[in-house]
Amino acid sequence: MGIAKKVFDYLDTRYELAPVVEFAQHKEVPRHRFEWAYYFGGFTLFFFIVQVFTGILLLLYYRPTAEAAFESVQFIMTRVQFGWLIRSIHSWSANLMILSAFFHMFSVLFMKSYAKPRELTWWTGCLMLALAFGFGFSGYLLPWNELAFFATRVGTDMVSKVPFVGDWLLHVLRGGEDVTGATLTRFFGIHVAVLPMLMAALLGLHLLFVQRQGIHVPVGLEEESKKRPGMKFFPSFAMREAVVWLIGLAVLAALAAYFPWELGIKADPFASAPAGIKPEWYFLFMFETLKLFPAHVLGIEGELLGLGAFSFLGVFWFLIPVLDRRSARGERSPLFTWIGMAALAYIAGMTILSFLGVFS
Amino acid sequence: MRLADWIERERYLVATALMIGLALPALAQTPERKVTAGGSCLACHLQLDEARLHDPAAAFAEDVHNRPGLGCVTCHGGNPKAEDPEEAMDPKKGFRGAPKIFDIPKLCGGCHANDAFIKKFSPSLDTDQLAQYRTSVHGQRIASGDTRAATCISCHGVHNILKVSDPRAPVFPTHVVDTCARCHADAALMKPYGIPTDQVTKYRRSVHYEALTKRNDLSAPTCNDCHGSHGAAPPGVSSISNVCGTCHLQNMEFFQQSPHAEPFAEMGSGACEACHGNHEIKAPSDRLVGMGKGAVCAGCHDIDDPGGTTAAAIGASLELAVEMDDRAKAEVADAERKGMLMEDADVELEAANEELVKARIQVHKASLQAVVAHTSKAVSAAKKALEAAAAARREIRTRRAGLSVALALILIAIVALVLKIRQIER
Repeated sequence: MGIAKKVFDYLDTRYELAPVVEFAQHKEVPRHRFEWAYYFGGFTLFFFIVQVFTGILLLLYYRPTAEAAFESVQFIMTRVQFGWLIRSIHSWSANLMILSAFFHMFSVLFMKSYAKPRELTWWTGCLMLALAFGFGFSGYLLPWNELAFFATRVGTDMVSKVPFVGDWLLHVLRGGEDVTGATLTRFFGIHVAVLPMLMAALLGLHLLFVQRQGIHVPVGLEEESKKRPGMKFFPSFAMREAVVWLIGLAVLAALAAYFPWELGIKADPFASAPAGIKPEWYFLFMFETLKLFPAHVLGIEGELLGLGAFSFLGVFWFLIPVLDRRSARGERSPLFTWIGMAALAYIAGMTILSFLGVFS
Repeated sequence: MRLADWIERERYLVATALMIGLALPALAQTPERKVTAGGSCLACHLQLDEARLHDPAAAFAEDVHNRPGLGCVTCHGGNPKAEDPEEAMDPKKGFRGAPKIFDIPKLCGGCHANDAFIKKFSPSLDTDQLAQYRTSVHGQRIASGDTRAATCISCHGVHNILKVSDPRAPVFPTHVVDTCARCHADAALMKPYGIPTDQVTKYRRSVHYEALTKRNDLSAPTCNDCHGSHGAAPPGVSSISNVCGTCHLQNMEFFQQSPHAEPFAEMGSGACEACHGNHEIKAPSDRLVGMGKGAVCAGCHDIDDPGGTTAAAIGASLELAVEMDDRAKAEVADAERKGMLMEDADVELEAANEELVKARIQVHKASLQAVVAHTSKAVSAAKKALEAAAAARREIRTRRAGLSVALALILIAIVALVLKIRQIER
């Protein structure tokens, strides 16, 4: 008897694993012309795993104070063996994780996989995307460089526009009036403790829901799916997913080797803000939209109105499984396809135009 | 509810309303017509249509003398309290009308040379302007009866006199050259004096003008920084180095220690001017040093004389250091473009730059040893930066080689997985 069998038997007698194995052996992934979209969830998970590992390694040298943060990242990049690789992969992987999450979200939206009974899977996914934005926003400040410092000042300033509690929120977020070492310390805490804990819980739930409910077949593809035998999750789908993960790893390695993540210059709170401050690319569509708002609309501050509009759209997006009744009944729902197309076009369009410098 | 209770409850609202109420009259004032001094003079003159009589009164609103209450009477005399023009401008009451050009310096000096009076308004303001003016060429010309020479109002204006620190003032550093040019670039006006009129054109091509107007460096010299302002006079040839040395202190000190100091003093020749020129001073280049084309040393020395040999050696030493520094900068920049952090090399480049600056100042000593002491350090720092750039290049090659190996392994794994999937699904 092999060691693996002995270990399995040991666990099986205590935890009754046989039904789990049985479930895994029979689990299938439907096959149809859009089955490639099923890989984005796993692809996002891969980048998250990379984030966890590289993040732990960075923690060995990173020091979260205004005095030492920049120098510690500089030390990681220049003195620590493969420090440059770990930090560059961490930064690139963060961006690719969010890109992959966007693809995953829109593929779920277009296939209407959020519809009943999978509402909770959509909601946990939306919350995880919000957490990923939080990871990006809090992590951006940690190297304590000039660009991150001023972008964080602009970004945190937006919460002050929230009616009634804006100032209080700003103080809580910054740890004072302005972005200081106190902000850095709390962003660090949020980045390495609070967000990972929440993400682990939501990720666990999200995966549990997917496994429990199985993979959704879009309306109109049921016939095609029935005609083709399903793909065994183990080992066929898992091995295909592994191929995708390896491609992701190759892309990360190439990006890190050819385009090591920049460090910039150390933040100087007393210096004037450099020209052309922009947030990370995934916030650009909101950033540019808010800039386009006039200073005042019907007596209301333009920025507040913009934030209100985005909040409303965010809530709408979150509630799509409830609002799209046709999908819940298993019918085609072209309206929500068009809404998804418009959102995708707007986000992609504004981001590209921002990179092209149209708004500057 | 009682009014007192309501006020107590809404005290913040009441306080805000009161503050707004108090602020409104101040907001309602128009800033253009803040004429506080002048009395009946302004009351009448502002209503006159004739520009000659109206405009000076209107311009006085912005005049620096207006705010402390020094009205028309201070310069023109008369009685500003009188309503009747005849009485207000009665010569018997001290009215003197427009002062004569010869009287202007004394008139202004009446207050500006009076320590006790000036200190009431501006304790830091000098009171030696009149004394200085009398020593100036302008002052001497006026004293000799030349009505074309400049007086106080030629530069400071009249009726709309602004503080020197006011960027609109004609004597603000960036405007001084235009103010001087009004007379000194006027060929017809200058003809009787036999002085050139191309100084302004030349100055506008100089490194000083560029610093002043393009880099907004208000410490960069304009006309009055070398020639003086109230005591304006051309610096004597022998004192030029002292004028330049006011700012370029070390260059002057080193020049005084050089073998050039004595012969230039004996010749009575302007030392700085001999190499750098005067009004049209260009940014100094390393090519000025040595015996090559464009080198000023070659103007006096032959390559065979000891001075020429030293000049050539100093020029070569500088050239080598600059060449090494340029190479190091280019290679470090290239590594940075490829994503390498080069902070150690940047420190060395900074050191090399500092030593080059020092070497260029030491050139004024005309001592090979003094220059080489710094160029050798610059070369050494540049070499360290070059070594760091070479190490970065090696690191880039290693990274890319490592990437190739990693990609090959990943590719093998992908191929193996694909083959396995096919085998399973066959």
